[in-house]
Amino acid sequence: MQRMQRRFSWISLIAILTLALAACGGGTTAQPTTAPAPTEASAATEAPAPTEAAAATEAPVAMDEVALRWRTRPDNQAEIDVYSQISSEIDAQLDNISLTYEPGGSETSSYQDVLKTELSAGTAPDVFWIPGTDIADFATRGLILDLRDLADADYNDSDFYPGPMFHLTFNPETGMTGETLWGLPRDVSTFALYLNNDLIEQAGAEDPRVLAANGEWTWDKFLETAIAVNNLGGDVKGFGMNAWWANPGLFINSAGGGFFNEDRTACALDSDASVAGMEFASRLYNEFGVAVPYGEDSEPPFLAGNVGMFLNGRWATPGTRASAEFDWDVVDVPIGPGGARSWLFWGAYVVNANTAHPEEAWQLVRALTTAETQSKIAELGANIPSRVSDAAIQAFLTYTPPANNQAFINNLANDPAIEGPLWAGSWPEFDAATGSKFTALLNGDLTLEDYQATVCEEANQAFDQ
Amino acid sequence: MREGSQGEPGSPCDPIKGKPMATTTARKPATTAGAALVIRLGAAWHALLAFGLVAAAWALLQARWVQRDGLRLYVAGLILLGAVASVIALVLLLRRDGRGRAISLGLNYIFGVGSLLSLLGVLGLYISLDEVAASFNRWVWLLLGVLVGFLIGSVGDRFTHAPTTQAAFHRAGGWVMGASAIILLLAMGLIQGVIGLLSGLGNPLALVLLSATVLFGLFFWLMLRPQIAVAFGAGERDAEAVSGFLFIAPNLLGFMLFFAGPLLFSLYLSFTNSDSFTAEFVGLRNYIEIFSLQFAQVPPGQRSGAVLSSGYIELVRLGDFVVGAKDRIFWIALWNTIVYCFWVTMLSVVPALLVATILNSKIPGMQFFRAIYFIPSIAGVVGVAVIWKWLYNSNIGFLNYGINQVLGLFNRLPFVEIAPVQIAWLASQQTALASIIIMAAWQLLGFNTILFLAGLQGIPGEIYEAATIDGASNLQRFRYMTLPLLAPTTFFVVTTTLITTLQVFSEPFVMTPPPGGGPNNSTMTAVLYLYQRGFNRFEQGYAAAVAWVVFLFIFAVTLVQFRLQRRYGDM
Amino acid sequence: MKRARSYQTQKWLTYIAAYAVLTMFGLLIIFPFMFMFFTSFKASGDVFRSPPQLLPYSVQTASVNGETVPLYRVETPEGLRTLALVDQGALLVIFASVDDPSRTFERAPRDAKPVGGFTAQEQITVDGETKLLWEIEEGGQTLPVFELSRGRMGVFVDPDDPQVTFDASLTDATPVERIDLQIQNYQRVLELQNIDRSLTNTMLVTILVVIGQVVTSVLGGYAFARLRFPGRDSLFVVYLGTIMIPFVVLIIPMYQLMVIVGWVDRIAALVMPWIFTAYGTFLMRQFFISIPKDLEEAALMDGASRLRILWQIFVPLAGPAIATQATFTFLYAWNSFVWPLIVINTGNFGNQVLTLSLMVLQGRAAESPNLVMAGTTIAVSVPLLIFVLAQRYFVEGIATTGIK
Repeated sequence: MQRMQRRFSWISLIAILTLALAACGGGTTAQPTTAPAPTEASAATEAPAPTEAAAATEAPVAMDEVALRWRTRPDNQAEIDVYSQISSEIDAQLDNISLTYEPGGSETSSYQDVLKTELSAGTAPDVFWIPGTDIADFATRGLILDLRDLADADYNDSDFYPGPMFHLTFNPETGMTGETLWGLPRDVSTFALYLNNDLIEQAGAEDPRVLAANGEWTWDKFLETAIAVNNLGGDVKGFGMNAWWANPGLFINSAGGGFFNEDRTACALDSDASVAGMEFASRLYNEFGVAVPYGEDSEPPFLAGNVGMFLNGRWATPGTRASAEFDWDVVDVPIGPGGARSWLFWGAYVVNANTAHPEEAWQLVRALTTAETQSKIAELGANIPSRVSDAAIQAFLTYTPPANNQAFINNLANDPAIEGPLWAGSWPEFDAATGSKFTALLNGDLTLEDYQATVCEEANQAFDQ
Repeated sequence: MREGSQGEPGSPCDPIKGKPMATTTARKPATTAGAALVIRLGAAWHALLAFGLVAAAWALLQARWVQRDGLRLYVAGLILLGAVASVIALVLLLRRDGRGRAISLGLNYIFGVGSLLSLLGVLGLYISLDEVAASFNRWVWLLLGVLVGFLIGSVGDRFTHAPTTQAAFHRAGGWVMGASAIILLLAMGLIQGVIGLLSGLGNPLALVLLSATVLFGLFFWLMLRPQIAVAFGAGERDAEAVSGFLFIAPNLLGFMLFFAGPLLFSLYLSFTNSDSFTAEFVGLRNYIEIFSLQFAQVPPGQRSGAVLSSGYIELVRLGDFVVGAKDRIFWIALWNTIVYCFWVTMLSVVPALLVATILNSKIPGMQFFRAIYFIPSIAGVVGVAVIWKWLYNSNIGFLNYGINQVLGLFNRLPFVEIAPVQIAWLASQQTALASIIIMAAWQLLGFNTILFLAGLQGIPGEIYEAATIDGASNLQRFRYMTLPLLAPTTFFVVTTTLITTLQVFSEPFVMTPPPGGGPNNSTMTAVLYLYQRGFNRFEQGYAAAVAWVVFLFIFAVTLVQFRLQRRYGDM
Repeated sequence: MKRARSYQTQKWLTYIAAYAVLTMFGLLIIFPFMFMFFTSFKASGDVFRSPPQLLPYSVQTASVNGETVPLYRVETPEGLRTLALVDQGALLVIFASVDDPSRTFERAPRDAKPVGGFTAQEQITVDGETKLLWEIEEGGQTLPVFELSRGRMGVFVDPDDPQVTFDASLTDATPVERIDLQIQNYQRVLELQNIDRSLTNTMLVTILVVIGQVVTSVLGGYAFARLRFPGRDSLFVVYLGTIMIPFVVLIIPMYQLMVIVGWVDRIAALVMPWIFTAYGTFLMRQFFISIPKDLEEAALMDGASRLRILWQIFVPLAGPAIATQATFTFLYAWNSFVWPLIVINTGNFGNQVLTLSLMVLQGRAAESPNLVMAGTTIAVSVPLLIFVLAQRYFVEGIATTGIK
């Protein structure tokens, strides 16, 4: 009896598993019939009726039209609106494609993580934007399509900034650039120092914009300004930057150092030049105490009028326009021992390796990176066009405030370090390892000697051996 | 037969007679002619089923539309297993072996439910929830009717002295609630929905599934017939067992499908290097990597890099000894989780006991305070974390402002001079974990208070009265009476808090800058770490291994907890 | 008589102490929500303030010569008046000479030079206070000075009669502010994230999950508690064990399962996997096991079916236990975050739930905490309303678990 009972329970367990699978099987067979639903449903709910005409043309999808989905990581509703509008315009332009734009999550809601999950499940959109740092990860995993063979005669790599194109055409197998085409850059961006002119004036410090115009905007002057503003006392801080790799990176680059060695196969943060940059940054925090604690979001205090200088990218401009109630502007990043080397940030539209319609996807990528489309996005104030063109730059300069838009252009022209994917390793791992060390050093939890000795220890594990 | 009128065959909660024919306690097989026919039919059905399943497995192995090879093999294997079971059932049925009936019941039930669920899937029932949600959004205001009904019912509660009035109010409230719910369902398109689903039956696949469901159901029902049971010599106990399985089935099936199955799959993943695109079996490598520790002696003032093997990084240094780990962050995360768990439990349980004791002293307004304390529990981690992030801002946050205001008050006293503070709550590695602990304790406090309050109210008042007469002081009563009597509640509260806090994820994920866990890993928790390995770096095999280690750890803690409860719980 | 009075006093003292403690805790608990509520009504320029302010204010303005200018309360010869500020004036620092503190000079901040440079500016001690040392040019000489005070002389006008001007220090003038609720924040946030849809989705998901869980748990709990079947006890141990499994372990395979079944991005994925619960089954089993057996035995004798016994005897008795489970499930379903984050595409506004919307909102409106807080207020207020209405059931529900 006992034995029979045990056997009975085993059999039932197995049988139940079978049922589970039977249910799955049923579901799978159901899939073909329901598959078109996602795009239709999302089109209906997502498109906030961009324009009446577009909605009307979209509704009856012609039989020979190819349905494509594309996605970006918008930071605010204004961006979503612009992208939705662009989507319906391109849709109207390209007869053979019907488009659906999906605004992705923000950085805080794990945009890339969700994307990779969807890629692994086969539910990802056909075309999507990813930041430059992630290109290598996506490409080496085989998640994005090499578009080189699709590139037509009228396409030219040199239409775009060479920095991003170096990585977008990099072939990880041969280690050569110019061989592949992983996507096209949507935009470029760079750092500048956002200034609270009221505070700087009150502190009696010289105007950084004047200093920069005269070529005197050095680290010493920058430090002086920060201290002077900080001396105003109370909650006022001289300087602020957020806890993100690029911020300490600015000081490392400007000191003549860098994240990686020459061929990007090892960590170079422990080189003397790199350490010198971090030493200066660390003094701002620990010796002079003039900065908003590293790791604290510096944007709220800056917008509250408590921070003299705030290091951030072009993307902080719309928010500052909306909330700053003081006289503000931007200035070039200060000149360090190795020059004033800002970053060149970029992100690219890439094509899902499993897309059913590679040609149409490439067409879409082209359409999304025309000068015309880019200028529409640049008007938002958050981006700078990725095409090398004087007209684009001239247009960008008119999107004020800030009055001193030229600072961004200067920083772009001044041999910026390229936001770099890591072809020979894992960027997220490198980022996690070094981010901890930056934080520990800048918060005074690690001495400079210990920092130099250990910063590359864990970071080097991120590289393929 | 009375039973025949009850319940649809194969429905998950088929009402089984607690007392079938077996009251006669006839244990001898006494097969009627009808029963013999049914058994023979059943055997034939199983032969057919086995054949069908083999064919299905073969077709599946040939099919190209299932992309994943592993999954295809797995499913095909299970189908073949079903076929084997079916053959066994066939043989045993013919031998009039009771086990044959059991297997047959199980197989028919499972495949019946499976085809029913698949049928519903083909008809688009699950997917249609999206449309339900859309029309719910449109008609949600009709829920106000339910609310009104509820309020009418509540008004009735006031008439405690007039039972008829109270009952009338309750009935009226019930009617209003019911009517509004029905109106809501109708407005949401219940009828159209059902018609729409039924119209999908024209689909050939749906027809196949429908007939399969009916057939499985039919044979399940036939096998349940009392005559058949008698034919197999099944007694009261077997009937009870069948009922037991039928009652547990909906739960168990869901549990298997959405819990046990995925769990086993993740166990398998933990032995691979899966990045969710490709997976290779690597044996225990992930676990070895996690647990790799190295102990070495290092002269003071010297760096550990010289004494640790390559790949090992200093985890902690105790005097001359240094402990290196291959996966340093895992150990940090585990330690943070323990610290977090300990402090949140302390800070949310002890004050909760205090507050509950005060609330229990029957002072007016107790309900009001109880309600206030409960609010954070219903607010949700994400909402709460968003709020606290602002309070914690070192420069313009209210917390530092409040502290400085208080310090300012002290500074008015003579000879006191305290400089204003600017604590970088979430930005400094010394305070970040503490900040999250404070917030979590704050959120759990009210919940635990209510648990304690309930426990306290369960203690009869007479015991206290006796003690008071004996001259026991308040403190003595609390120490020697309340605490021991409250022990079961305390254990429950502590266990619940432990289990929830050991799984902490959302708090650091929402409150620290992406990817979370900063500054310098000081708020990295075990679950957050495995999320990052699995979804940020996409080392899903490794993440699954971490998950299993974390699970075993939580399991061990809970086991200790249960042991303690068994030992002291009956105080 | 006297004793009674002292007893009364003691009682009152206890009350006061109790209320003091309760109120203190209550304020600690409620303050973050007050912050949330008031911030949600702030204007974007009012959000970032130093020092922080709880209530939403807006500066009152007047129109002078076609320009909108802020109003201030200013001390004038005719007493305190409300005037409009038309010119902020230049910032002037009043420095005092180090050698002769009674000699003061007014200078613009940039006209003073730090002695020793900003990086190593020298300090002096004046009346026990440390002051920074500056140098100014005075009559062709460089003079060491320290700062006494600073301020602006603003030009104010009578808003009703712009011809009348006053000069007054801006430091002494207080801006005229009024509590001003920006109700449109709510409108904006509803447009922004489709929060109303998220709200109803969350309600629907919660309702379905609660109903589903209660049904399966009651059935399963009854089987575990009352029906003997082979493997019951080992199965129960397995159930118990799985209560402790962190959900994150299941994310990866569960997501794959959703892909196979075709529920990615669907409400079904938020509902179906969650209506089966080991924890609820455990709770119900514990409750049912405490119900005396004679009740059902009598019914069994009468030939009642198991389902009928469950429905007519057990379920009515299990009211509190069901309330417990419903409460726990409600809290869990309403607040679940990780799973929707993974399975619902953030771009799919139609199928989002509140936690997800809030998270996305926090990223998309990072520089508008007023909007984020408006979203949070919406997310919190519905469960709060439900809680206020059904407080009794909530509290009773949770309470029964504690008593055991």
